[in-house]
Amino acid sequence: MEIDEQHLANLMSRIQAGDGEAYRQFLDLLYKIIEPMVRKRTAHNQDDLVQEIMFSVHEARHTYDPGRRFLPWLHAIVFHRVGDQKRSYWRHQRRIQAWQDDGITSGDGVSGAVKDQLLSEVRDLPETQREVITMLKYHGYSLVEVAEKLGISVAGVKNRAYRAYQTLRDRLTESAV
Amino acid sequence: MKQDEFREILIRDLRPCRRLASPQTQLQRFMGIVLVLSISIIVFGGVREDFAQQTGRYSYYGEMVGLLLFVIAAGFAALFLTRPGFPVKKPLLACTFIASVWPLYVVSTAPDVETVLPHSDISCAGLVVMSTILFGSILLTMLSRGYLARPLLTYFAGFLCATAVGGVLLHFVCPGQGLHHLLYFHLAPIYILPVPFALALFIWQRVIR
Repeated sequence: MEIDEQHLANLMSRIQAGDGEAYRQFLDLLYKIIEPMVRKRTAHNQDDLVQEIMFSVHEARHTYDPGRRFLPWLHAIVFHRVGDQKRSYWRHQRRIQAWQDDGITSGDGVSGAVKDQLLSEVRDLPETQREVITMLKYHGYSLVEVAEKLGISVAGVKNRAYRAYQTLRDRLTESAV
Repeated sequence: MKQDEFREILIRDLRPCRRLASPQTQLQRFMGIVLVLSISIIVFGGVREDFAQQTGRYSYYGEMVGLLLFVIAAGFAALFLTRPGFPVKKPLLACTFIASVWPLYVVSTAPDVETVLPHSDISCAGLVVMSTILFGSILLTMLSRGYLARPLLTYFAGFLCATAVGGVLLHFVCPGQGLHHLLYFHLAPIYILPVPFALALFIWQRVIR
């Protein structure tokens, strides 16, 4: 696919001024550019990653300087998000391996007793934390979707989720001791 | 979520945004604030007793220029790091080069004998800590408007810039010239303090975000 960098830069200038129509065009083009890049660089959660990159571009749109080239700006964001996702994926894999080694999970998932205890602890979480955890982990919504549904920022969702994980970790550690 | 729904959410969320000023402009603003606050601190704390004599020494100016270049290089490195696609290698290399050469220059030009003028080791280190907190907060507020792809390195460069400003202030207020004093209470805090400050901020940011 041939990329017209100047056109993208012009669209970006209009987006910075709040032009919704330019943004619609831009997002179509952006998807066509980043989707193959993501498919080439990672095999895991590609669709989620494409959306995460688009969200990062959305959040970082004020950092683009129309006097500079557009593609290096975009590539820097894409590489950062891909690297982040890879690190997060391998961290997750190592954690699952550790749980399997400790007998907390089997190949089929979390063992019955642990699952019951976890569900009970999730029910005891404060309302604000419980709804975030349920939406993220049970319904499988993304951070952006949860933020949209609850009418809070993505940082707010992350904050509540972090507090919930911390509470669950503390309670489960206490009961294990 | 489907791609179409996701795009609609982003489009609904679109607002006109104020474009981030260029790193040069941001550094100029930062230096302007630093100048005003530094003058206030120097006026409040008092200029070193041997200031008039020092102005006749070439090495005094050499150290000052080295420190100012250090501040500028670290500031540019931090600001460039928050702009996706900016060439960060040059300011990082400049910063590393100055950071390596400057202590050698200070050591080679330090007088052999300890000054007889009164000075306090602790207050010198304290001034660098205060400078790190004050100027670091100002610079990091500016940096937080950018895109933090490498937050730890950005925080480190930002705090390095702030501690180097503390080094400039020490040049105006502390008459201590002994090698021991310069090494442990002027140089060491500038190099060491950015590490815990950057790490603490990085961990705190991960908790919040």
